[in-house]
Amino acid sequence: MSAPVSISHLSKTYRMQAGGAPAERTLKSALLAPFRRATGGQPASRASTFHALDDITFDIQDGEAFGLIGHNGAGKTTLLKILSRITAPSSGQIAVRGRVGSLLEVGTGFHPELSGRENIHLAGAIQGMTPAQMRRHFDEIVDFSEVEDFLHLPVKHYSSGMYMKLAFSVAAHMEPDILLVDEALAVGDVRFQRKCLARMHELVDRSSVVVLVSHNHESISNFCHRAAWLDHGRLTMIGDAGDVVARYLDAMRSVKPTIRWDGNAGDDTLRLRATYVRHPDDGPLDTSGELIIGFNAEILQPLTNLVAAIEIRSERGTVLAYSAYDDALPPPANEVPAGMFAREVRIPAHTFANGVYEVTFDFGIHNERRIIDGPGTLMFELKGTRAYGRRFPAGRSGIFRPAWPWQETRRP
Amino acid sequence: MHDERPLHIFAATTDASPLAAAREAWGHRHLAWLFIMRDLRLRYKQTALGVAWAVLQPLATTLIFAVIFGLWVGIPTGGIPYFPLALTGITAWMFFSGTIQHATHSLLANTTLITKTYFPRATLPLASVGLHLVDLLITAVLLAGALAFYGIAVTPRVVTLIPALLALCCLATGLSLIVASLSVYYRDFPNLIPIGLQLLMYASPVFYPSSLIPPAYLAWVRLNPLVGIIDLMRWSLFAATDFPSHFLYVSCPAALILLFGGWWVFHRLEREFSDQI
Repeated sequence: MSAPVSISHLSKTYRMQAGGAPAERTLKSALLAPFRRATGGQPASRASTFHALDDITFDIQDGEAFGLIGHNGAGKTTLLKILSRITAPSSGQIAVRGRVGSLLEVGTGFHPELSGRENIHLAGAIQGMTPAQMRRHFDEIVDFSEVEDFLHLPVKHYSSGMYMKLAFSVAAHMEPDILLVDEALAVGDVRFQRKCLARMHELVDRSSVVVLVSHNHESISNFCHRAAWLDHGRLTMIGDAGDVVARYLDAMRSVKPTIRWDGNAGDDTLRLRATYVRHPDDGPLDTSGELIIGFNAEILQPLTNLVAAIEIRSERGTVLAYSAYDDALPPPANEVPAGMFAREVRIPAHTFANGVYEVTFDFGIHNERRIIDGPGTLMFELKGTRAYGRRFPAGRSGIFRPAWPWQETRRP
Repeated sequence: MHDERPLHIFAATTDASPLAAAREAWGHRHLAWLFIMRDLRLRYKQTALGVAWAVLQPLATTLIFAVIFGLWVGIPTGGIPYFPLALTGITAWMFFSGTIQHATHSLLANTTLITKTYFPRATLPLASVGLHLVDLLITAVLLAGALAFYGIAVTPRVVTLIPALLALCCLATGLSLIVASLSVYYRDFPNLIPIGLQLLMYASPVFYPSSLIPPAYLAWVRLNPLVGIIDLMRWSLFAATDFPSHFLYVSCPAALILLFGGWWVFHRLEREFSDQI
């Protein structure tokens, strides 16, 4: 018996135009595709291709919880989209045995104006439940979702927590042989998250396959048996989930957060030499130490209105901060003379929580043009420390880890 | 060991046949039904008159035509009262144009569904047809009332309404599939549709009888499959004209060609919708 999920030499490419926008495949080429294949002709194209997935091959077995990790843009979501038949492979194939349920985004198929009850029926049908299955599971879905009292209300009046609970409940009860879950564990409160996890365990115990994409490494190593690490569309490593996560995190840490640019980044006014993230004493980065982010560039002719800035994102891609070299008060002169242009910023200790972060650099002339458009991304990891705080739970919540001074107050 | 779970192979080079796709869409007919229910609920939500609009719209349109062309212009109708004559054409036309307009946006309006889940995409334009079939039924009741009001007796000819409406449905379905998928590729397309529909309305005997078409142009005008359909509907209700044989040799083949051709086009383009939309 073949594996329930079998992926062989799977690639997905998108054609990009010179500006970086996805090239529209013309109607004619899509309609005539079968005939062209028969004659073997290839359309000539000046557009470049972007490999979202590049020659991926692996199988997933019955009753396996399988994790996918990798940074943003590594191809995880594209893989899930192909597995769920949303988008077609460019080459290679997948063979999937059984019904596929996917939860790529919580609340897909929900319409805000419809009631909770109507949305359960609609979303269930969109995700592939038959009317008989819906009749069988309707009460379970309602029970699981904990929103019974609000079923008659349009879901636009639901809190986001209620909305997500209802959405997950529908997806979790469609008896899929293969359940694909992207980032959905962050549903509702901690108690509900446990319930979701338990439900996924149940599915795995019934020998369904669960494929989980998550930025939360813990949930991958705790929940999954095996995992695959994707990097720029390629399969870097596959194996025991704990091992893969450990190796992935190691790689994140060991990547020296410095990029040297060999004069290929920039134009005839500004050339970027290096971008870096470091500890003041070049020690390991942690939440209780300062963090230095900087760049080194050469200005070839005097520039006014120069923008040179960094953007810090969480590993989930949320922009946490944007900071420009001339943010000081009062701002420095608006003209930058030719010559060496190196700046760095010290981010005080106790700013960000532990985790993996991305820094992108932004260079340009304000309101005029970009000199360098997102030159590489630096990733760095801040480790947690016990530098302050009496009780220090491993997963203290929040994206910031401030050491704020609390004081006794006598205000009534 | 025998495994009952269906095996899906999804590859760059193989495609399900159009027939298999049709079978899959048929297996999802309850989904099309839910889309219809969704749109019906949304359409009349927060309107004071609610479902009454389904009657008021064709009624108002027909009354306007009746005043302008029936009373003022005095279009010769060969003894048939103008109001039921126009209402017959308007019943067919409002179904046809409403379906096409709705179908044009059926995929674009559900972009998140298409990029985040898989289901047979054809259920969306097919639901457009279903939604307007509901309207067609309501308008038909209005038409029956008008016939009774004018004392027009129903003859056995009325059964030919069935093939006329079937051809109309096939025509609307085929065109819906085409306009829905082309709109994903060409964003100018949705803007062209209202213009095209307006031209088509004047080229079809919606508010005038076919007898008004100058004989010199008749052969050309009858190439429009809607002409045969509306003529047959009038033939089945009012005994005034000859049997419209052009229904048999223009409307029927056109409806079938568009139905199957539309399915083929949609099926060819469907796998790229989520990348294009």
